[in-house]
Amino acid sequence: MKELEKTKRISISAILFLLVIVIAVLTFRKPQFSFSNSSVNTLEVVTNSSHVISLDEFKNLDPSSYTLIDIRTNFDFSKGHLNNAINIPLSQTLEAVNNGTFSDAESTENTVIIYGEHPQDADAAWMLLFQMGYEQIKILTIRTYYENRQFHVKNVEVGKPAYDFAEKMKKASVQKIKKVEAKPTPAPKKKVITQPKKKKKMPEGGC
Amino acid sequence: MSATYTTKKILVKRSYQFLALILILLAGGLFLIPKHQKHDGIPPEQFVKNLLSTERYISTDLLADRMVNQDPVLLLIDTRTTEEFEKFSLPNAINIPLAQMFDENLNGYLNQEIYDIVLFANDNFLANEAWMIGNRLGYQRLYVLDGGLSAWFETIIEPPYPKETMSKEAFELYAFRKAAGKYFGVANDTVEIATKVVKKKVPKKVITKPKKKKKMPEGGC
Repeated sequence: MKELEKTKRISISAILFLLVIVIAVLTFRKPQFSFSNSSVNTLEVVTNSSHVISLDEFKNLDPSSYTLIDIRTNFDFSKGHLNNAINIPLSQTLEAVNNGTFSDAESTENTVIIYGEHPQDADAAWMLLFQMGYEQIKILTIRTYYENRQFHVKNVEVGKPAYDFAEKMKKASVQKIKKVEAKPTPAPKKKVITQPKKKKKMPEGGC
Repeated sequence: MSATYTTKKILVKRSYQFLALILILLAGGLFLIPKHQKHDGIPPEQFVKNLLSTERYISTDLLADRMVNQDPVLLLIDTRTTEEFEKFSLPNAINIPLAQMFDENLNGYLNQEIYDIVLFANDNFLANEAWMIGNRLGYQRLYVLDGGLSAWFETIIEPPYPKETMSKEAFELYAFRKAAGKYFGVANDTVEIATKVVKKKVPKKVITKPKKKKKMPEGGC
């Protein structure tokens, strides 16, 4: 009988173990979003800068071949945006992925072109989407700004130094000498003591 | 031994075999589970949050302050190409071109938790790319120099003199920047040297004063 008791315990524990496994398998859910592109792959594309497109190139594209996305906030978008741009703020990108915006574009062989206030904002969106597997995405390297309440864009050459740094540093490290004319020391003023002139008082009354 | 006992024994034996069979089947089933790519690093939701936050930026003034005070945990990494690095770079900076981020001997500088790493380039774009790739993989303590070297020159090397209407803090900031600039090799302000003056002969100007006519007081005298 004791033997049976032991075996009863073993069998109960084995059944419980199986139950746990079954439950785990049933409740297993694939994570909603995941990165599928490796970092090495991403780095390669980034080094070639093949994911950037300048404003001039963009103007030559056929409008039906791309989807233009503005990743700035709703407020900025409402103040002004490029024609035919869809607004998907960066914070809502994952929701858009859920809605299938990007997979639709991929299936219709449309390039997705992203722009933001600065190229690096668009780059952030690109990094996110590319690493999630959406490879048909390019960044428009522009800066957006407002002048007289008008929306303007300006092309930016990314990674270009604004100044020749070595030259500037050289100039800055040179001691600047300015030749100044010595001010001639003024001759000491002769002290002139003027006696107060006595004013002749006119007698009052008639003259 | 009773008959019930033997049957029970057989049943137990059978049930054990049955259990063993199920477990083996499950083990085999593990191979059949669809392969879901396990990505290394942080999940996309976390990545978006990091992208939106501006905590990664460090201003040129703060960086200059830390460099002047010789902060021991500070490590500067130049993400531009080797030729640009050799032309000019910040003092004590290490060059890790973006393309070589994953090189064995260079990756160790990025993937560590001892130093505060400040990535910089000519502007924000390249340094940000290095930051984003590192951040997704879970690298810690990465920062980006806001504005890059262009901002460095505009603020530390050649700080703009504040207008008279600006606040006291603006003037203090200017003084700080000037002092920091001296640490980095900017020469002192212009030195004035007096030179001898050759007196020019100026013809004497003769001004004739119009003679004032004395006005006779009106009325009788």
